[in-house]
This record gives sequence, structure tokens and C-alpha cells, in this order.
Amino acid sequence: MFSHFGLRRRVRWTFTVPLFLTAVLYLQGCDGGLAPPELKPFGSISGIITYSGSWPPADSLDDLRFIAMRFIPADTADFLQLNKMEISSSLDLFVDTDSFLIENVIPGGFFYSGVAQKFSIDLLAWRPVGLVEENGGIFEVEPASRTVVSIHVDFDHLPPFPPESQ
Amino acid sequence: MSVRNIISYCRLLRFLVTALIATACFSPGVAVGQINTGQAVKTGRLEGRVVHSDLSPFKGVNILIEGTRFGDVSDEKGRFVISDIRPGTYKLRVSAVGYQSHYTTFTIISAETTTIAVTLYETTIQSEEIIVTASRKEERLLTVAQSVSVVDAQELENRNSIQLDDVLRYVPGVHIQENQVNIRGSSGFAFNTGSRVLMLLDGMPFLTPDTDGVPFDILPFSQIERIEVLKGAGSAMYGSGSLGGTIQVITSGFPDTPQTHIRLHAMAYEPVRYSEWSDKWDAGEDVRFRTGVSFAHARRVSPKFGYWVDLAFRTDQGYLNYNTERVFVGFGKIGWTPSPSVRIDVLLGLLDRKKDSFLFWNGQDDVLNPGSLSIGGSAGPAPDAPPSGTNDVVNNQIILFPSLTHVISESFFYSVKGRVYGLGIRPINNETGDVESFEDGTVGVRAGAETQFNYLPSSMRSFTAGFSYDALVAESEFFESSTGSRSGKQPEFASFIQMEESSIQNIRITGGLRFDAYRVDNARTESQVSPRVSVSWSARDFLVLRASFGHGFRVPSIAERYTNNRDFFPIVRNVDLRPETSRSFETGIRLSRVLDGGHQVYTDLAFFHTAYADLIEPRLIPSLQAFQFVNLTSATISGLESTISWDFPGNAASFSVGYTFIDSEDDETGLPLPFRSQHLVVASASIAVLRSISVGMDARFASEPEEVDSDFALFVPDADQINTTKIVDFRLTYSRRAATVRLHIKNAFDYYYVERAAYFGMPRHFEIQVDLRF
Repeated sequence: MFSHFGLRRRVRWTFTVPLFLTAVLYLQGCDGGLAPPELKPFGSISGIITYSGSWPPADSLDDLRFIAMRFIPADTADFLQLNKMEISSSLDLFVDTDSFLIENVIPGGFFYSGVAQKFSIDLLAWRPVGLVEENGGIFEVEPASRTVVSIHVDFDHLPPFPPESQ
Repeated sequence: MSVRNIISYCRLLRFLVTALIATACFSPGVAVGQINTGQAVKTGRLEGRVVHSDLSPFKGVNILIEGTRFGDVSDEKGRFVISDIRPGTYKLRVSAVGYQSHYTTFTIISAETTTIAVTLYETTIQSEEIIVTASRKEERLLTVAQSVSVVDAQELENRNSIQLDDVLRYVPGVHIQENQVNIRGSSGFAFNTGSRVLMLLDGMPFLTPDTDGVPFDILPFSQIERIEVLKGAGSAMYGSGSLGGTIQVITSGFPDTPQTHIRLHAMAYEPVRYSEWSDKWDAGEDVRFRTGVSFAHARRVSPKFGYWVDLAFRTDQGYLNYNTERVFVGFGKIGWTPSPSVRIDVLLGLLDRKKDSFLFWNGQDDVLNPGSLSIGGSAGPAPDAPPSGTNDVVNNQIILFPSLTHVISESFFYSVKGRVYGLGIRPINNETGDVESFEDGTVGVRAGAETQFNYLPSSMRSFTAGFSYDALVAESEFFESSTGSRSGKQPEFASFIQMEESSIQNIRITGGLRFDAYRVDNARTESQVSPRVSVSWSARDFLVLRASFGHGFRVPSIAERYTNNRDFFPIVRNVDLRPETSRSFETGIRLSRVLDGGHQVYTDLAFFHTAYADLIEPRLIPSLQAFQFVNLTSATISGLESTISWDFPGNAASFSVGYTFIDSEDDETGLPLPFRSQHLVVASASIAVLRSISVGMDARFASEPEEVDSDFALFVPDADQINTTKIVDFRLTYSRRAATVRLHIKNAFDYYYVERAAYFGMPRHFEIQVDLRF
């Protein structure tokens, strides 16, 4: 009986334990799992803008730009949250169509975007004149890729601001 | 008194009645143990001795000649005698609770004595265990027609389990995603609302009134006898919620000798090894702790009355920022037998929990801190306000489960069970730290009753039938019903019937039907009819083949229908949600064998196929700029599951491995369902090094999901990043007399993983647990 017990213990230790350990360690591997990400490459946003309706007078067109916001603005003060938005260079005035390109965009989601008009020299004198409407205005910029949007501006039917709450 | 004892009581009654009838009908000289044809023959005699594996005498073992009602019980020397047996060949069953049953064939020769010797080995594998979840009545696990896993009290202790998810992580086919249970891919990630797994506590449905979630920590862990996990649709027996499976927690009875159990435990979380993460949190490089104590006492005061109490307290600093917790759980159970045929039990439980809930991270570059949803512009939170990815609340719960069982005759008994489950959640003001009122939080109540009738006309046939009613009400500032009210109501009525037939040799057939009706928002009534049928064939004593078909459904929770809030995450209500349904088919083979030398081998192989319809999943609705729970079209989940366990005699060692393959597909898109791992593996090993020391290892693996939901990632950075889960735990146990000390190293290789979308899993942590029993 002693030898039988010894044989059982030898089988237990010399066969099953190493086999089990080997299988578990193989599955575990040398992978440490999740890690802080490497810096994501930037993306870009480009777009085509079409205009209709009557352009506002020149003295109320201090600036015209495409702005993409990573949030939904509640009032004009939100136009000061520059770290949460991407802004194009100034757009051409009194044209039928225009295009823009914003490079070095940090990847992520944008929830409210469009063409904005600065109607006086006041710092907060901005208002939207045309919005990205596809997919409810929501789009995402992926790393190392370009997101293309289209906007139609109808100066006779400007979008409400602040946006209507859901 | 447990259901098992009631069935045993019925069998004893039946045996006594039969014996009385036999005595009345036959000649006065007939004795128990005699197989009498009424003719004068020279009978023989069987005698023997039963011993434990260590050769010590085994008292109280049941010895029964199969196909008859004649047998004996072993005495203090392990001896038994059955006399006046007609010559012939018979099959003998030798059994005792907690031991592998022994079957042997013997021959009786006229006027001679046949002697046999039997050794019984402890059951450490599951096949001989009795379960109740599969068919609402007791049956041997070996012959159950569905896949079932059983976790006993010893395993709960070995894993230092203080929450249900600690236990379920090592059940084959089960994948835990924070506090969402996923059985064979039935669930994905649904913002912790709605569960496709039904939980029962002593037979009572046990889901939270507001979200129909599984309550992981309001359980009496020191008084759990076992946990049964039934895989596959089970709505034909239990109604809504059992779409993917059923988990039943069965509490202990009352011991003849008083038992007191004190447990102390402490755990230390190791800081993460990446400074990119730890530098962003003031406590990122600190060792954080979880400590707790529990006390339990159980006793049988008299033959008619017993009770137990279970109290537990713990605090947890958490390994994430804004994730602390303080919990008190108290449970009590009384059992009263006013007469031999009546049994009354009352289970009472209380929970008081204060918790900072970490909802989602701040990106893969900042996993320890909760994120913020700042899409509200200047209307959003103040710059110095705590991040919105956390929710601080005080949670109070109470449960009351009274039950009455009345044995009318040896073939008929009924039970009446009541249930009350109340929940109250109060938010904590982030600026002042004050606990606000229930009006600012959530209040819910689920109350009802159930009656079940059991009729056993013979040992080969049984009928079960019953009905139930539940009132479900929940009110929250996050809810908005179709009438604009903050409360939702969903009363439920159900009736069920089941029949089991085993008159055909070695074949058992079960059929059942259940009707459920729900009233939604006082506007409409929805109903479901759930059939089930199953068959098992015992090809050998150790080999059973099975097949089963069942229907499952889940009525949307009040939270899924009526949540309409953007404080933490933009979700809008959907009052038109339809119930989810499923049709589940499974076939399998189960083998349980004791080899020479007492080695016990158990294996189970199952193939399953489930077709789902109207699955409810959260989806981003761009026009609403928010998520909404919607009914998808249909999906199919198929796969196989295999379990192997090997136990050495005398608890010298044990090994087990479980593998589950899951193939899921959205029938509309052809893509895999999101957040489902295709491969799940669990493995455990325990070895007795010395008489008082044992070591063990546990491992679990879940492959990276083939598909993740990218909509969530629009709002939460890197929410679509989910990797493979590979966790290995080590444990060391030392037992001496009344004390047991356990040391655990969990996630021993410090593997970093994502528990669920935007939630960092637990890094390496060290536990010590001290148990005192007297």
C-alpha cells in the first residue's frame, strides 16, 4: 500500500503538475496585457461648402470659418473653449462654393460642426450659419486618416443658436 | 428543512406505507428485507460491511436492493444484513450523502449467505450531487438533461469569495464583465441594465427591481450550501430573465451541533507598473487595501426549530480613483417544523452600501481615473467638479422570503412562497458629501408570491404545477414613463406545469409549459408561452446522453424602458421595447467514473445552439445625440462546451479544465455580436502537500472579442479597446484544528486587461484569509 501511495504521488508530481503548469504558463505567455498607448498620429478634416441665399452685408462679415466642436455649445461663450474645437483658416467671402482643410487634428469625436460667422469685432460675436447635418452632425476623426464633410449655408434660413435641446 | 429532506421524508413515508401494506396482506412471518413471492422457498441472506477510504467503519450508509424497497442501514461497525432473499441475481446500491454511490451485482444461493465488502469514497466531483434548479425538483446531476455547473461551499471558501462574481468567474462558459453575467455569450455590455441571466435565492427570483440586475453582494456567503449554474433557456420553469441561463444560490440548513464561523480577510492591491498611469492620480503609487470581517452562527435549537445568522462588513479603498466602498450585509434564516408534515422558513437580508462607482475611464492613457462627458459645453459641469464618469451613492436593500411546505401524503405536497425585495439608492452630493434624499435617487420594490404543487404518483412519474404573481414598481429621477411620470410599473402573473416520466428503462423524459403575462405602464399587456422538453438516457451507470429544447424570454427592465437622463451618460427612453426571446437546443454526453484506486473522473461535452430575436442592445441614435435601448432583429449563438475533472482519492489532488467555444452572429449584418469572446477557458488544480497544507492554482482565459461597439467610443476615449483576458491565481492553504489560513496571489503575473468597455481590470493583488470554526 505504501508503494502504491508512493506511485500515486510520483504520478501526481512528475506528470500532472508539470503538464498543468506548462499549459497554464503557455496560455499566459510573456504578454503583459494592456499598456499606455503610443502617441496616436493626427488626422485631418476637409470639406466642401456651398452657399445660397443673400450674403450678409460686408460690414457684418468680420470673419467666416469652419469650426468643429468636440461638444455641443450652450451659448456664445463656448466659442472660447478653443482646446475643444478645431478651426479652419478664414473662408472666402461672397462665393458660391468653397473648400477647407484642417490638419494635425487630434483623433476623436465631434458633435457640433459647421460654418460660423463673426459679425462684429466683439470677441464673442460668433454665430453658426450652416451646420454639418449628416449623421446628426456627429463624426469621428481617425488617426492618420481624413474625414470629409459637406455643409450647405443658406443665409436666408440660418440655424438656431443655441441648438435646440433634445 | 431543505427540499432534499422533504423528498427523503416522502420516500420514507412511502416505504413505511408499503411495508405496512405488505405486512397486512402477507403472512405475519414476513420481515423487512425479505423478497417474498408468496411461495415456500429456501431463501438466502446477504451481509456485508461498509468502510471509508481509510478502512474505518462507516455508520449510517443506505443499502438498497434495486427494484425493491428492501434494504438496511449500516451500524456503528459498518455492518448490514438483509435476510430471507429469494435465490437469484440482484443489483445492490450502497449510498451516503457526500459519497460516491457504489453499485454491485450479487447472487443469492438457496440457504447460503453471500458476503460483500464495500468502500465508499467522498464525492469531490459533481455527478452524484443533487441539484434542484434544472426541473424545480431534486435530481442527480449525472442525469440532468442540460448543462449544469455546481459550486459548493468548500470552493467558495477556497476562493475567498465575498461577492457572487468572484465565484462565477471560474465556472465554464461564464464570462463576467464587471457586474454583468454572460453565460455562453448570451449577454454583451449593456451599461449594467437588464440581465439575460436569472438569479434565484432558495428558489425565489432575485433581480434588482429597477435594472433587473444580478445583486452580487447581498448574499449570506458563510451560509451558502451550493450555487447551481444552469446554462441555456430556463423560462419554462422560471419566467422572464432566464434567457441565457439561471443561477441559483441555495442556503444552508441547520446543523445538529451549533457552529460558529468567524472570518477575517485583508487584501492589498499592487500599484500599476506604468508611471504614465500612476502619475495622473495622487494615490497612483500607493498600495490600496480591502479588509473585512464576517460572523456566522447556526444551530438547531430543537428538533422543530433552527436558525442561523450571517453578518459581514468590509471596506475597500479600490484600485481605481473614485472607487471606494463600505458594505454591511446581514442575513438571518429561521426554520420551524410545527408538525412532521409542515415546514416554515423565513429568510431575511439587509444591505447597506456606500460606494463611489467608477463608470468609465478617461482613456487608455489614463485608466485609473474616471472620464468626463463634456459634450454639454458651458452647460456642463464646473471645471472643478468631480468627473461625470463616477457615481457616488448610498444603496440600501432589504429582502424577505417566507415559505411554507406542507406534505399532504407520501405522493403529494405543496409549497407557498412569498417574496419582498426593496431597494433604495440615494446620491451623495459631490460638493458637500451629504447623502441626499430618496426623491433624488431611485426606489424600487418587487413583491409577490408563488404556489407550487408536487404530485408523485410513482417513483417513475411526477407532476409539478403552480402559479405566481409579482408587483414590480420603481421610481427614479432618471426615469420618465410615457405619461411623464418618474415611476414605472410592471406587474407579472405566471402559471406553469411540468411532467416527468421515467417508466421506460434508463430513459427520462421531461416536458413543461409556462404562461407569463406582464402589464406594461398600465397601457398594454404582453404575454409569453414557454415550452420545454428534455430527454436523458442512462446508457450505463456512469454514462448519460441528453438532449433538451427550451424557450426563453426577457421582459425589458424598467430602467431600459424609462431611463431618460444625460447627467452621467446620454440615454433616452424607449417605452415601446419588446421582450427578447430565444429558442435553445442542446445535446450532450456526461460521464462519471470511479477508477481503480478511487480516482474519480468526470467529463461533460455539450453542443448548444440558441436563436435570439428582438435582442435589446444600446445603440447611438444620432438624431437624438444619445444612446437608446432598441430591439435588434435576430442573432444566433452556437458552440460547444467541454469540462474534464480528475480527483485523486482522499482529496490528495484535483484538476479540472473547462473550455467553451462560442460562435455568435448578428443575423442582419452577418457580424459577430459585440463584446463576446469566442474562446473561454477555466482551469483549476489543488494538491495536498502535507496533511495540513495544500497549494492550488486557478487560471481563466477569454479571447479578445471579435467585435466591439464603437459608438460608445465617440463619448468615452478608447472605449473600443478590449484585449484578451489571461489571469492566473495561486493559493496556499494551511488548516489546523479549528483554524484555516489562506494566502492568495490573484492575477499573479500582473496582467493588465479590460474588464468591460472603458473599465480597467484588477491588477495583481494579495489576499490573506483567516477562518475560525468552533
